[in-house]
Amino acid sequence: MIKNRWLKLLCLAAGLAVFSSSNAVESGPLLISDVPAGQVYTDAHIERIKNRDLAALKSGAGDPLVDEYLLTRKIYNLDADSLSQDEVEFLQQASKHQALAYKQHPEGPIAVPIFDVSSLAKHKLFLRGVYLKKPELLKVLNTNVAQFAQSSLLTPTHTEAAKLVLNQSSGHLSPVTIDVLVDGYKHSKNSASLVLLRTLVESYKSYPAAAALLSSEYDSPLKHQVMSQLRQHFSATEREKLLREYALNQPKLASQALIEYGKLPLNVLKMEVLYSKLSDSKLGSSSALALSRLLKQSSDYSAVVDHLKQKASSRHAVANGLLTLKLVDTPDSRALLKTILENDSIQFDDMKAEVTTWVN
Amino acid sequence: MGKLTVCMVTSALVFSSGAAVAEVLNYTENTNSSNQLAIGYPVPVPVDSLTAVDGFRTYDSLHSQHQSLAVTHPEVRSSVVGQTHNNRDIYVYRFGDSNNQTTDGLAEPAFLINGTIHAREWQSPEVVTELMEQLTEQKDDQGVVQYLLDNTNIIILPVMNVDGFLQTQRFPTQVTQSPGTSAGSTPSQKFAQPRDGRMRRKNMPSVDEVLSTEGDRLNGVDLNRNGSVFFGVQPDNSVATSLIYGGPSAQSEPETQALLAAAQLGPRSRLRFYQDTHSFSRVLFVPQPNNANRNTITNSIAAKFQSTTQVQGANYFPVIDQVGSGIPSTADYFAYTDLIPAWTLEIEPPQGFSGEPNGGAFYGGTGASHSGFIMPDSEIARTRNQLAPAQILMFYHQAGPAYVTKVQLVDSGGNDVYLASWSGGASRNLNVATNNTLQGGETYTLYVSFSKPMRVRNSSGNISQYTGQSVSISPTVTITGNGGSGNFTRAINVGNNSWLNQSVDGFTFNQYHDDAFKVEFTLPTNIPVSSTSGNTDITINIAAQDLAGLELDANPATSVDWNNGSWTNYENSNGQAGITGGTDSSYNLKVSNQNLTLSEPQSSGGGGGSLPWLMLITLGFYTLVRGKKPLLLRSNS
Repeated sequence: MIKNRWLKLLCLAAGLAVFSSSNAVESGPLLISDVPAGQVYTDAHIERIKNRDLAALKSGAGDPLVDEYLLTRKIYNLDADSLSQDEVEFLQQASKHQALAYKQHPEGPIAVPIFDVSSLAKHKLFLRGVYLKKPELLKVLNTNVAQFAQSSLLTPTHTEAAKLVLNQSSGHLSPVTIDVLVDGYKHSKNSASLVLLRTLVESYKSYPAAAALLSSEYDSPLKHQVMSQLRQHFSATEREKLLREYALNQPKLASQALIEYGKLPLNVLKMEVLYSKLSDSKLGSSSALALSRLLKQSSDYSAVVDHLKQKASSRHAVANGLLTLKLVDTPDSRALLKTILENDSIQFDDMKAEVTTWVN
Repeated sequence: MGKLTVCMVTSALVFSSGAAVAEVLNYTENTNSSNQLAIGYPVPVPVDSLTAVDGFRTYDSLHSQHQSLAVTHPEVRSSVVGQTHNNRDIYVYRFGDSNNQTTDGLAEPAFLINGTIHAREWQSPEVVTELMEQLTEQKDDQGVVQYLLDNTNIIILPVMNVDGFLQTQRFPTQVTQSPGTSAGSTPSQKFAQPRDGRMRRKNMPSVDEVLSTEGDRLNGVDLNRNGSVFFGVQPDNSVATSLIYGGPSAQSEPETQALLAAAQLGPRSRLRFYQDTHSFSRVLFVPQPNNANRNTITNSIAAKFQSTTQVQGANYFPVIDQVGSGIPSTADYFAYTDLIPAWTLEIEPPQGFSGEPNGGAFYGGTGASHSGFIMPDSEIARTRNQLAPAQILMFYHQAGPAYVTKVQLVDSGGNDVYLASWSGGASRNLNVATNNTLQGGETYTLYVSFSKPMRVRNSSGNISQYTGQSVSISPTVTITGNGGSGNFTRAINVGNNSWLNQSVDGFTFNQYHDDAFKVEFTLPTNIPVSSTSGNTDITINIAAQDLAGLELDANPATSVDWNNGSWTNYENSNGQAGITGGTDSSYNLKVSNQNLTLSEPQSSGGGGGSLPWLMLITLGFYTLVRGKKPLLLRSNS
């Protein structure tokens, strides 16, 4: 009974949506002036609807805003791990829904859909697929680890399910199993392997997984996220080794690696790593930021002053030395910049002018 | 340290007074609960990196990168233009040489780009920073960027709402519940209007940096409603807790004052373009003050911006306002006050486009409310790269139309036959150094240079359109005159490959790659004259579109400028000033009648490309019979 009611509602919505979209500007966004007045709502109206009791709202069915709100609520409350066939059919129908209720964009005259019924339903169906796949993959993991590594990359659903399996098995996998997984993902030609390498880093604190992820041939945001979180998973010594490697040898990660390197405990980090890049045309400014954070604590600027003296004729070296002091941004560092300026120690006029604006 | 103390004291006061504590909610990839909302992809967390990454950089990294550009490159200068409510410096960066003059001695035009006025719109500082990076990376390109740095003043304010931006980055996955909701409210209600943490939009007057503080989380001024044009026009602009609160008075906020100070660096009187950089919706919101020329020019370049992005797979659609209607935004302010092209750029994801999912759903997400403000890490690098060329093209266009700087004709012996160049500032003179008599049937090389780079090249080194543009690649050159037997027009065929980015046969570009062309041609003998003695005056007419499709200033004697919403001294082919330009016919030469074609004087002129068709056929037939050269000149290039 419920199923029929919702299906009717969705069919009605689809029909209205066809009418609505026929009025839209062909290649541009839907303008608010093209939406029938009965489908445009204010924030106050939306808030009133959302704050009303669900039972009371059901009597208002037929209003596009109410209908879509009820649809959204219904989809949101479905448990993707235990969907009935009726619910699956409902979600499949809902995933074709087109928006009916709009509000005006705050900055201009375009129509903004208030709810995204379709995407929410699609995501719920995706999660259902993940939950269905999970036991299958768990079985594979327990019988053939190498096969698991391969199967986990077949589709986004497989990858997400594998993530759940690995998270759920946290602490129960042997080091040998983890090594096999890392090896499988390390040699995979599928960029989804990085997702699972990250899971192995986060759930198992696997150093080889981190190294494999960071050195992967694929560009991925996951590399940067993992690099930012190394402290949560590895010892200072392990981090020093990893970060030094990427600071010195991996151009795409080097800037971040240098800055993260500067966050290591003082008894582990080697200052020469940071100073070795201070004259670099690409990475010098990253060294400057890393050093400036350290100098905020120590106020010992002698190495920077030496750097400025010894490399006075190198534009990049001087620029990054000055930048270091600028980014320290303490009374001491500002005074030192002023002194450098007064002593006419900067050979480059444009840098002099820039430093003058800093100290003034 | 001081700020931390303030926060701690504030927090302590809140707790000790028993004040309500706002519920903190979390965005997640896939988990929903009473205080979690899945967006369907990993929620970005900013990282420390000065170089661009697949993701978003921390404010500290972005600021350090900006400072690095300023101290490393002489073409970049930083200035502090104000302080935020929480006393943080607001920086602006000027790109260009330090003399504030164009290469021909005129006051430079200026462009202002504003970023991060709304704290939660993380796409904005990344896109603006990419523009800053490309301007320095390409500064020695001997092309468009070098031209811009030599001849314009580009002012970029990358992060206007520093306090708010830092607040969003402090809590990259967290927000507080919507106003009017409680712990017992549904997630849909709680997440409907998140206002602090990751979803802060406004600035931070009387707002601490503790997320859970209930008493201040709705405070702040919408800096894009604090403008003096249309101030208070929207009902909620005067509600202090509203998302679009305009502040106690127009331009009341220190951040707004900083933007005004940034505009002064143009200086203000030289501004010709303003962009406020927001997200999301993938559109341009284009204000329309009551100034027809300004609106025509603005809408034209908005279309060029769109086509630059379209060819790269995105469609930044210009949404044109109704004339005279607007909101108190900064784009409206500059559009109405300065009468310059100005708009609000809303970076992707799209919203409201037929057949394209909205907000975060565009990237395969759940389409959760506000997810469009949370672009996945994996999408920002592409977005940065798509928008930089579009913005650079706007600068190039608003730098002004090109004009001819030099015309030279050289005979086959390498001798100058005609040499003329324009000199001077606002009023220019055509200095004709050589003007010898040409001979029909002789081969000459014509060299013409312009005031700006006119073409770009692809990675193979071939002349190509600027990204997404469709302009006439070849210039149009004709010879016109009247030898006593009616007007005549003869075309010189100039091929695509006539443009110069290196020395060819002793001719090369002038200041920038492809700012000049050269072509060999044979002066026709089928020019009709009434006598084979004496000379005939001829004119060389030059028409060309620049990279953005702007026609030439047809009269270089008066330099083009911008005033009251329009180009000034921008003449068309008839010498009338307007906004379209035309053919420059300033070059008067003479040709000996000796080898030309004796014809009966015509009673009604004709010519100029408008000969009656019967006459053309007859003349063609006559030419064939006499075995003369065809009407169109052969290009030897």
